[in-house]
Order: sequence, then C-alpha cells, then structure tokens
Amino acid sequence: MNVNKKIKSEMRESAPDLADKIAQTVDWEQIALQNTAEKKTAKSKKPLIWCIAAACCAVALCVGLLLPSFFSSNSPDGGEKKVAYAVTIEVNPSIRLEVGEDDAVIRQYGLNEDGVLLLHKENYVGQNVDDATGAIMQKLGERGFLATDSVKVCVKDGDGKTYKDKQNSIIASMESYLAVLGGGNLEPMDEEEFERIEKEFKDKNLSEYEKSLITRYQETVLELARQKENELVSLITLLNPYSDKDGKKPLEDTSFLAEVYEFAEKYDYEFDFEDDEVRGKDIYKIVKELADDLEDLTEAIEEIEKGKDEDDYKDLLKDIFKLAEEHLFSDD
Amino acid sequence: MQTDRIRKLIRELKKGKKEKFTEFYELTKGAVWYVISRKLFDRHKAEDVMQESYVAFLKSLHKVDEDGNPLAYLCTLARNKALDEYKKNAREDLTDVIEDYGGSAEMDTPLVNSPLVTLCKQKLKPWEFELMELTVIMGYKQTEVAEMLSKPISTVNRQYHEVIKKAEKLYKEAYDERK
Repeated sequence: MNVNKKIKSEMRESAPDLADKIAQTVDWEQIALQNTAEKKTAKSKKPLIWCIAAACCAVALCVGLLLPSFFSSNSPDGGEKKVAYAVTIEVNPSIRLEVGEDDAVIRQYGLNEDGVLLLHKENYVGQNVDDATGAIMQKLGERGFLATDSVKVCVKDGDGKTYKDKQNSIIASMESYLAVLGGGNLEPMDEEEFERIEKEFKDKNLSEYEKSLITRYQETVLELARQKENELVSLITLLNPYSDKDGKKPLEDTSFLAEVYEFAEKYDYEFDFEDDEVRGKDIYKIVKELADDLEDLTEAIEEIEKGKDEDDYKDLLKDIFKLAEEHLFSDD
Repeated sequence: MQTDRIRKLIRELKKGKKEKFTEFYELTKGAVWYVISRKLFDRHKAEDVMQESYVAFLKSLHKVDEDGNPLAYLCTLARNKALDEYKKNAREDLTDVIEDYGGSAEMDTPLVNSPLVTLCKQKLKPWEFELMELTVIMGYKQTEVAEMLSKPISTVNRQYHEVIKKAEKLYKEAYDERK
C-alpha cells in the first residue's frame, strides 16, 4: 500500500483526457523558435559513484536477468528477427544463444541459475556467433569451468533438429579458442543430454531464479541506498546551523568542510564555493540540494520496499535499477 | 524521479516535439486537475480552464526553468486561471459568506474521485492536509514547501513523514467504507 502512488493514480484517473485537443491548439513551430534563441546548458544530474563493487554486480545481474526482454531481438527496421538456429552450451552453467540467418546473435539467456550468472554484464546480441562463443569460452576459462568438465555444444535449427553443419563449424571455432586458452574438452551434446537440459529448464521455471536473484540484489541495493540516506541526514544535520539563505558574511567556523568534502568525494557531488570564503547562503544551497536528493532517495527506497510485497517482479526490478542508476551509479 | 522525467520532457517540448506532450500531460494532469477542481465544480468550465492552462503553459515555455519545478509553475498557472473563472462567476452565496468569516468553502472536490483524499481532508489537521496537498498531489519538493511555509527543512521533512503515516492508517478506512 503506497499512499503517494494511490493518490496520484486517483488524481490521474479523475482528470479528463485533453492531451490531443491541447496539442492541436498549440503552434509547435513557434514554441521551438521561441526556445532556440538561448539554449541553456541542461544541468545534468550529478554523476554518482559506485559505492561498493557488490552494487555493480547487483544491478548488472539484474540487467542480465532481463536479457531476453531488454536485449531486443528486433531488427533495426523494427521487425522481429527470425531465429535460424540455437546454440546450447552446457558445462553447468548452461546457456543458449539464439542466432539469426546472418549468424548474428539475436537473444541470449541462461538455462539455469549459473547460466544466468555467467551471462550477467555480458551482451552478445548483435555479435557474430563465432565471436560470441569465443568470448563465452574465455569467460568459462576465467571461471575455471574448463579445467574439469567437458563443454558440450548442440546446435538445433528452427524445427528442433540438429543442425549438423553449423554445429561442426561452431565446435571447430570454439576448439580454436580452447587451444589458445590452453586446453579443455569440447564435444557435441547428445540428444539425451539436450532433452535433460530442456526438461530442467522448463521444470525449474526460470522465473523462480529471477525472483530469488531479484530479491537478493534488492537487499544489496537497498542497503547501499539506506547508507547514503543516513549519510545525507547526518550531513544535513551538521550543516543546518550554518545554513542562512541571506548569509553573505564568510563563516568563521568551517570545521564542517572536511565532512562535506568526504561526502562529495564519495558520492561525486560538486559544491561550488571557495574554500576560504564559505558563506551562509552557500551552505543554504548545499542543504537544499542535499534535502532534495534525500527526498528523492527516500521515495525511491519506499517504492522498492513496498514493492517487496507485490508480485510484479519486473516493475520491482525496474525500480531497483532506477534507484541504483540515479542515486548510486556513476555516469562514468 | 518523476520530476526528472518532467524536466526531460520540458526540454523536448521546448524543441517543439509535439509527440512528447502526451506523456507530459499524463504525468501532470492529476495535479493540475486537482488544483482546478478545488475552485470550480462545473466540469465543462473546469475542462476549459484545464485546456487554457496547458496552452498558456506551452506558450510560455521559454520562461519555464526546467531545472526548477515546472509542475509547480503549471499548477500555479492553473490555480490562477481557475480563480479568475471562479471570480467571473462568483455570486453572493453561502460559499462567499463562509470564506469571509475565515472558514473554508473548499469542502469537497466533486470532480476528483479519491476517497483517501476526502477522508484525509476530514481527519487530518488543516496544516497536515495542506502539506499533503503540496507534496503528494501538487509535487512541490519539501525544500520548496519549507520556503513557502517559512519552516526549517528538517521540520517539514519530519512532518511530511508523520502525515504520510497518518494517511496510511486512513487508507483502510477509506477503501473499506467504499465497499
């Protein structure tokens, strides 16, 4: 139950739908002309740095979870690309690449939790299948999967039949990567193995993996966000006594600056004043900015915390991603 | 979050991108309609004022500071237009008498269907409801509200959270009663 959301939703539903009528009344060319005279540089949202490496993994993994949705299989002209064949790679992790007629990867997804984890932060969509499988081999090597187990590969066409020629060529390409990586074992997957992977994938219902991973990373992101929230409150409390909207005289006591700089460095804020001439009005502006950010951050945290009880994990994931991007990420 | 999106849309609208207007309207119509319906109870008149407000806003886009609070500016514009319309049609009636004696004639907003807002108006103290209106409905930042009400930001922040907690308690009552 989110009071804000409920009220806003009811306000929107009560309002008439006049968008088209209004849009047609206005001279849009005139508006553009009026506003091109002086183009203000847009004040961009401050880039905020990563707090902890875990946040990287958290959000990137969340992105990885929605790879089938986010990384579109649409062609540039907007139409859906046809899957010509699918490459299944199994070494536990299990992953699948769906490939188009032009041998470019259209879609990628994990067939089990380890597969999802392996693919996180990676985007092979649009890459040539040989390049993509080579990169995957490299990643498997880095994670130590090639040392013990054989990598099994299967290529099926659109009708579910083994696409022998393509399978042989992909295996040959992957073998050349294996040679560079220093060895390992690669073999075609037999039908029984393929059926087992398919069955496990369908039975396990990957959405359950997604849900558990989303929940896990929600906690990580929330922890970071709450930490920032607490730091914002502390800093605002510290600065409040020095804040004066009309304060023009330089402040005598600037002992608080060390904490301000520490915060600014941690979260990549830019505060505009000269060291030896900090005025009450400068502090007032800083407090205002921090309070605005605190308000946004608190709202974002509340939305995610309340979203815990809802079933729409996609929406929850979007909210987590948005919070991390707007309050915890760096633009770099 | 929503404010950032509105700011981005304002930048696009300033380039004359008509196709961005629908999203802008969807994000802002709730607040604007509420502001208008506090003064006007006739739907046709309210819709006319709604349209006029947006047109006036778009025509004065070059004056809108997208880094400020564009929604607040739009709401102010709409409120003034609603007030002008109200005064145009004002007649000596009980409403005016009540207001003359310091009461509030803004009893209900029949054009807005929100049981929770109605209940909050009844049960919250006037300043609590005003704070809720300004922040939740009209989208003012707490720092702006602090300035408007000449209160410290920390006080407004604390009061805001208390008001939201009270509203959450009223939530069940508002929707159970409806059933």
